[in-house]
Amino acid sequence: MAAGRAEPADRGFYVYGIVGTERPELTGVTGVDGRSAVFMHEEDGLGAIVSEVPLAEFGEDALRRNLEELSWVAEKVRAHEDVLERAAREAPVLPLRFGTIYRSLDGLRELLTKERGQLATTLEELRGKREWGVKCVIDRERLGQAVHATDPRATQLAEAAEGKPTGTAYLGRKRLERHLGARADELATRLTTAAHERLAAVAHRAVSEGNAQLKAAYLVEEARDNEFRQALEELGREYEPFGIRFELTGPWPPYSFVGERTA
Amino acid sequence: MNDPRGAYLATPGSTTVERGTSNLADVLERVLDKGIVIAGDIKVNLLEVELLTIKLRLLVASVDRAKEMGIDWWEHDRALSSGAAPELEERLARIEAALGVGSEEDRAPEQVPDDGRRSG
Repeated sequence: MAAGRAEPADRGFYVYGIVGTERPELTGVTGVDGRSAVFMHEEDGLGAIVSEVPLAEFGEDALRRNLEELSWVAEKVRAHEDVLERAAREAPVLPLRFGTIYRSLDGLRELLTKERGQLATTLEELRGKREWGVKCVIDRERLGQAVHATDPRATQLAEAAEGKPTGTAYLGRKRLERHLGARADELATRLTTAAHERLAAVAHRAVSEGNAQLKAAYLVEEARDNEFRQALEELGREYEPFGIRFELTGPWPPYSFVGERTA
Repeated sequence: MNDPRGAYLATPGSTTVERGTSNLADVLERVLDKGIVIAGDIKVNLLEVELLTIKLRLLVASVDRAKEMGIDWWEHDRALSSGAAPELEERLARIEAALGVGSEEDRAPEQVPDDGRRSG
């Protein structure tokens, strides 16, 4: 019930995320405009995390202009993330993509009512789970050396090129390079696929965008956090001789697991 | 410990948790590209935002760092990647054919380097 709240034409309502029956404490949290207080707009058992924004900065035209300002975007995106992180520490949150702005709370009210079932279901699934990001960094040189050392065909090609006339040796080296490159790609893909499977086995859900270069997000139950981190550390040790290192980020609000849906 | 992501900085072994610029890239990627899309009253052109993400990524990262982060689209673009240029592959195949099998290809001779021709 926000009937008493003034909705002047020069202000909009920026929405960060949606929470269910568990409510995070938002006292003292400042919104993306750097001034306005973040508050909870409640509707039918759901809560939207909202703050007022000046349309001079977040109106359609202003937003289009500001999106060209890299420093502006970096600052606002961080502010958006800070609000959600703060909330996600205390309650399951559905994070919204940057720039969801209503002119009045009527539209927001309508959305929460209309999408109630779906939003509540997703919130229930996210309870007690957090998103972790994992990327792998590949040192191509070390990977190449590892391939060279273990691949019989590479040794054969290297030997074949030895003691040959310059031109033949050059071609031999080229052939070897191409062979090693292809084998390195194969090996990297195999290893990172295996890594993803092992991490996904500990996670409730997993998404991967990577090919040879693992780039994935894992939704992990808090109770299994240690197991997940242990799996990652094991992988780090096992893959170290191949020049493959893992980078872990998080915990994140579950951006990668709320789906891309337009309400 | 204000930032929960900082808590794991000292992870042993070869697994690290990154902060700073790469972390900004991670934040941008999630906040701009992921999360629920709900049509508010103010329309943001998400395509513009996506283009912007790329610009930002390149801004916050050197090319090498970008590659480490898995941003390597230019490497898959043959027009931008000399290593994978098809004409080089073709040329190599022709040289190999001329040397290995010894059959004379019509357009091969001017493509074969001097030392290569002597050995053939």
